[in-house]
Amino acid sequence: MRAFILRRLLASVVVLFLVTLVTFFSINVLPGDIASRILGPEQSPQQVEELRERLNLNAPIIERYVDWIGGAVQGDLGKSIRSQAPVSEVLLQKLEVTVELGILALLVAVTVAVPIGILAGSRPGTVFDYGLTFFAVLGVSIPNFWLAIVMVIIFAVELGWFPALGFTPISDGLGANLKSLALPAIAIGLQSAGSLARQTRGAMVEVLNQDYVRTARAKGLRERTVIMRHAFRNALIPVVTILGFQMTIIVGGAIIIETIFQLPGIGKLVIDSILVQEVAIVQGITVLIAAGVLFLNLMVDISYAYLDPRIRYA
Amino acid sequence: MADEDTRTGRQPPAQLEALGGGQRWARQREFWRRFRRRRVGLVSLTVLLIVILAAVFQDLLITHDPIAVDGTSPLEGPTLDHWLGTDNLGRDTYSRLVVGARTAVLVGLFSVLIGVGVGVPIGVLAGWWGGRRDEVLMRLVDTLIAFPSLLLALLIIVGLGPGLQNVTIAIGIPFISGFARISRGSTLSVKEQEYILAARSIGGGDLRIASRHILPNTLAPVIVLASLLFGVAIIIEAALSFLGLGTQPPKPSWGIMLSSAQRLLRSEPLLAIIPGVTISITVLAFNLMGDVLRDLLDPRLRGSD
Repeated sequence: MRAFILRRLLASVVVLFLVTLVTFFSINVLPGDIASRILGPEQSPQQVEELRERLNLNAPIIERYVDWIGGAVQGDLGKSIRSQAPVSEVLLQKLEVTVELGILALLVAVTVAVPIGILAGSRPGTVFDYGLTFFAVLGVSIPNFWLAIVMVIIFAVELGWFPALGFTPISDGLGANLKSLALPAIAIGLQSAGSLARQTRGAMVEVLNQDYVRTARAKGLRERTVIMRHAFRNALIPVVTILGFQMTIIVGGAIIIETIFQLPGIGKLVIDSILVQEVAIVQGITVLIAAGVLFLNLMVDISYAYLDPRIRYA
Repeated sequence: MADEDTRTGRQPPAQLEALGGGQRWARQREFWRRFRRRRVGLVSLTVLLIVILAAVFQDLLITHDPIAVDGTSPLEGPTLDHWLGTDNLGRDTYSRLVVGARTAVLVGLFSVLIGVGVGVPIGVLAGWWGGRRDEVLMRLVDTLIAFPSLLLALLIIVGLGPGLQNVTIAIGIPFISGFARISRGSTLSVKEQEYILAARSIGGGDLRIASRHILPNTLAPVIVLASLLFGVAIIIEAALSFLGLGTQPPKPSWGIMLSSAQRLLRSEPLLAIIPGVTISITVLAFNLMGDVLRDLLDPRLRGSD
């Protein structure tokens, strides 16, 4: 087990290193001059040169990468070009909203998807199954940002139940806080629910064909007990493994949904930073998110190997 | 490998060729027979054909210039002249929808082609070689998986700048990982089969075996994934355009239509509903098509996700 963890840990570190390379070089090597883009249309060559100098853009690319990565491992992701604030501080400030939104969205996804997956998976091939599967496909087909817009029209504009945009911090009351995050969390959660439901259904179908389920039925257990005690518990294992994947859906959703609802989180920050060419912030967020996904996948892999010894030796 | 081809004889005996062709034809006919029985598949196919035809024949189908601003008729409801009404600048919604179809189809098609073109060779080679080279290639692929695809696309756009071509590249690169993984998986599953050993024993080289014997076996899951990712590409293109980082106005795109409608939600909800429903139905058709193809092409996957 220890060898397995070490091997996976090492692989994650290698991938994280590659992630920093992709992040840094896609922004800095691809054609287009950052300095002239920051300055906009009214710029003089002298201004561009000054800014290039200040941002250290004239140094060799490898040197700039080493500088950046050297700082990053010590928690220093550089400074914002405009406000001069350290990027890591800016990120920490915004992280809270996105983490809360992400947890709520996951909660919505699991609450919707797991029952649907169990019900559809325990009656494969029936009209019931097709109906639920169709809803799951619908969930992945409707763009979350459009769903958000429709929900705003119905629940904010027409019915007035929720605010159309803006964020209320927890310090102003949990109720108001949850209200301001309800529509965004549902918009992201339902999209994530689509793939989660399909995964749960698939796992249920597979488990219900196992011998031990037949044994459980043969000894006269109630169908309910068979499904919940024997099948669902085992079906959970493959479902948990896609949690890392779910996180990429949720974070991807947060980018656009936070922008629509004007929530001061990481997602809105990345879009705002792209629009004003705050390169250091974009790099910081990207590496932070990718590291989060890698960490989650590592945890999932380890717990999976712990639960199922066959994995360890594969 | 050309020299190996001549050694083993480039042309198979005529009879064998005839038999192979006949079998292929029979297989295709069987496929269509089963496909026709799937109502979901037929409905999806119809929707996709409509979208593709709109993309190809847009010049014949539009009723107005999609970017012509008409101050005399802004924000009209559906009329005989403007079938789906007009937007705040008096532009015809129906014509913009038709022209947006071309953007969606082009971005979807070429981004999936990037994913297939780069991902499948990587996957097949990684699976075929195994060992250290496999390890290196798959770590590279894992790197792409660590990013949410929208974020990776954004990152590439920061580097390349917006615009249709760059958006297509930005959407296509994240797709590489999926195609690489899936074709590596099918390569591993056929690699140890006896017919591969047979091909090798009569002197088939790596390239020949990979292209003639392994590639066809990876085709089914690749087609299924391509169908699903085509839909994903349309959503990401719409999202990027919605954010102002994709297709640039005045070029119409479904995402741009949504983003300009967002400002008029209170008074003109229809402007947001029309492009949204169009995107959803198109993507739904690609997803359902993917499911049907999976059932028909790859019976092993039937019933599981």
